[in-house]
Amino acid sequence: MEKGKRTCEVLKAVRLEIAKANDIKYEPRECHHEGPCAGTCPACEAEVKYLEQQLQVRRMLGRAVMLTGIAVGLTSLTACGQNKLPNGCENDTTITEPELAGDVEDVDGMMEMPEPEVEEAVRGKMPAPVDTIRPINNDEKVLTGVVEYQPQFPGGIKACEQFIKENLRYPDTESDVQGRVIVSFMVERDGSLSNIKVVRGLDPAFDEEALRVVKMMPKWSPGATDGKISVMRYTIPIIFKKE
Amino acid sequence: MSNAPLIGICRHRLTVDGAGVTTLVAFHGCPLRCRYCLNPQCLDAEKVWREMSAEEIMDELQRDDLYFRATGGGVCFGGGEPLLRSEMIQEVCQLMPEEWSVTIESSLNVPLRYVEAVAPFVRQWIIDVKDMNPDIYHRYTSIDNYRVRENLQWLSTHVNVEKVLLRLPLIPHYNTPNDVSASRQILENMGFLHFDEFEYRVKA
Repeated sequence: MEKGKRTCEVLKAVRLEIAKANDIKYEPRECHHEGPCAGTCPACEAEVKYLEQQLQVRRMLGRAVMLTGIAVGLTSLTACGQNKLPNGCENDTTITEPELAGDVEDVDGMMEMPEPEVEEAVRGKMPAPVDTIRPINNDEKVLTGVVEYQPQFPGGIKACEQFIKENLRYPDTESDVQGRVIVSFMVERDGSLSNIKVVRGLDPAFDEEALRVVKMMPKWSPGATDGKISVMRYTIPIIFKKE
Repeated sequence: MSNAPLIGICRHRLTVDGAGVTTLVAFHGCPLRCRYCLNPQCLDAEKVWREMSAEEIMDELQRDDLYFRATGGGVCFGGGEPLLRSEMIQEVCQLMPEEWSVTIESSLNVPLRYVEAVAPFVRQWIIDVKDMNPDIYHRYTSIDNYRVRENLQWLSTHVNVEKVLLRLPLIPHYNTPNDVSASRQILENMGFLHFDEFEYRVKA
């Protein structure tokens, strides 16, 4: 199996372990993507986001979250033969499986070797330094989980509430208006917010202040449907309460 | 704290440089000039990939928090020579969750204070010893290995040797199996237990 696919399989197995340990409904579909795989892709990343959201909800409900070390065995079993560490597998021989041995196959095309040419089987070798930092597979036809992933403010609901609390100012009016302004917006694929509007207002000054705060927000994590990062509408209440 | 130059960040490495799922943070710059350097871009000033702050590095690492925690993985600092950026490593380590494991992949050919600075954070040391023979080392890397020897001595007395893996390559045209054995003997006498012996493979 190609290395990227193998990595993808291991990561998927880790996600399943996390879901199982925390009673999270999660059924990843088999990936039908053809061609090179970076080990992750927007669809895989969306599944991670989904799990993070589910774990956050459980924490907020005061439920125990099982995470630390629950999938240790998965990676060490899969990687047996490549791990030369004291707690790993064999520890004594020349690397014989290039695809398991520190990206030796990635040497081709990026090294200017002096003569004689040598493939140094060192595990610290950097493959494709630029592209590997981001998922390179933007193919939105990749199929994945059956769950719809909602957009999320960076850090989650609590962080969103904190952001609003820190930035919202009670308008300088003589009125004693209190209540909530409902603001709706689109979360774009890159996480930016657009089409921000008040769908239920209180008073023009309060509506304007609610819009101002939402426009200040940093980029969100985008939502996903059927494994595709997608533009989604989101609605939040901005609550005005005179201290 | 200023930014540090990097040659790349590589995610989702499976136990190749530390337990579990790891992210390799590879710094630019190295004091060695190895004949068969695996990442020569770390020596070329024009091949800096990005300069990043500790917070920016953390942002990249944070993306795999779930995988790190679930598999006992974390971050591996490599390069280049990561210990030349020990202050940056310290800063990142202070920002990260304690559950993440930290691996350093180094030649140890740096002043001792750089080693001391990061030692409290490190769960796994992977040391590219090359060869303990000073002549062989100098021929292969163009510099002396007295610092490597001193730093290994320090590690053997200040760090649990179970955390240390020493790489002893058979380097074509530079050392022999007997040299590798001699290096291993010296290191075993220092108290080290774990070795990775392998051979640089010559392309046809």
